Amino acid sequence: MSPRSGDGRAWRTRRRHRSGAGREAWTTGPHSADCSCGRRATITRAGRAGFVARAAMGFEAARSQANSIRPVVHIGYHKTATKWFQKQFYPRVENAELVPRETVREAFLEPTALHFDPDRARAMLNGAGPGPILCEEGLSGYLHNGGLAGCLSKDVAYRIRGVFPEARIVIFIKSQPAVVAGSYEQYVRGGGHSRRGATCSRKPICAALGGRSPRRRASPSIISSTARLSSIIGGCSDGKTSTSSPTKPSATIPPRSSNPIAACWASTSISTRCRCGQ
Amino acid sequence: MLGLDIDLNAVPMRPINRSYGLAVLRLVRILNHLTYRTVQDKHYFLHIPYWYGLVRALGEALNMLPGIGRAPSPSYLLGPEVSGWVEQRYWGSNRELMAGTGLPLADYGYPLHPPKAELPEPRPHPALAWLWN
Repeated sequence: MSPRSGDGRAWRTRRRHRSGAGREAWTTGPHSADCSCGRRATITRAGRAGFVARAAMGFEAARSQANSIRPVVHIGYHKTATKWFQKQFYPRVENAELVPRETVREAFLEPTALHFDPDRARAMLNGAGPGPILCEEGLSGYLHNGGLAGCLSKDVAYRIRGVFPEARIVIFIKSQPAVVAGSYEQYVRGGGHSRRGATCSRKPICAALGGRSPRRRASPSIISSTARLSSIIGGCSDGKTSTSSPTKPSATIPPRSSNPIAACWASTSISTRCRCGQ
Repeated sequence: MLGLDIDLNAVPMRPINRSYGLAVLRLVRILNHLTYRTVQDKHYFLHIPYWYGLVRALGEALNMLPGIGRAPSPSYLLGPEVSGWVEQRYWGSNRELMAGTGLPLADYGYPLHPPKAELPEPRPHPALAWLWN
């Protein structure tokens, strides 16, 4: 019996996903860049269109051909619309199940470093069904302490590799000024009141970008941080783990056409469906 | 790649965690002086029970109003000092990132050029530094 069997929230979530309204009305067929249906414009007009385009590019770096659904672990970073993915995107995935954040935290973040058991965590998460999707930005560190100089991020990376060595890791990045501004805004939303300059210079908000304290003179590098995190997670998986680390040269970048969102999505292997059947 | 099957047309594109507008941000900063929270650099005059929930609800409600909820740009919110310092720290690695991936980072606001002069690390004004100790 799965430990999650008694999780009422998880089961309610699952029922809601399976009874998605109107799902049967959608005809099969990929929604590609040259799709001429009217629905395409809805996507391009959306407020988050620019971000989704960047997100799709992040996905592209993880290109690999696979037929089976493997666990997907989306670890952040913070302020890269992870909440939108948790609330809007991943729950609508038809062939995989989103694991509630509470379960992910209970499995990965609540056990101490000396008491973490990969088997127990795997047992908790395997109840989510085929190809579980984990989306929790806390897996990349905590926003307000900079990931404890990267120690938290590194340990969680080892935990992820221990639980799901075959997982696909999704990492989204964002421009550093936007991340710092969003972090400050989140700080105020969380009850803070310090001025922007004092907060950004004194406290490790900026460290969330590179996993280093901003007081250190060494130049932080989001490349090195992401690369090291990715190498830890996928280091011993015989190449089975693909990450969206920007350090790996990606394939062709889709041209910025009149419909960049569709082009970006078409460049990924995330199959989408459209009413027009194209 | 990920192999996820999803109907993109059914995915709402509206933001979930919308950033505060500048006016809301300033108001919430003032009201946050009356509640205790475990964030960094936090001081409070007195703790009013349930005040934080009230402020949070007020901020979210105000942020929904048209005109007042527009989020400021990062450079405007951070100011030239902090913004320039952030750009100074990350322009080099961003160039490496762009060279390694081929991504058009300049189109997405990534700093790619060094500042004209080296900027010092932003600090509180010396006369006010004791406030943060």
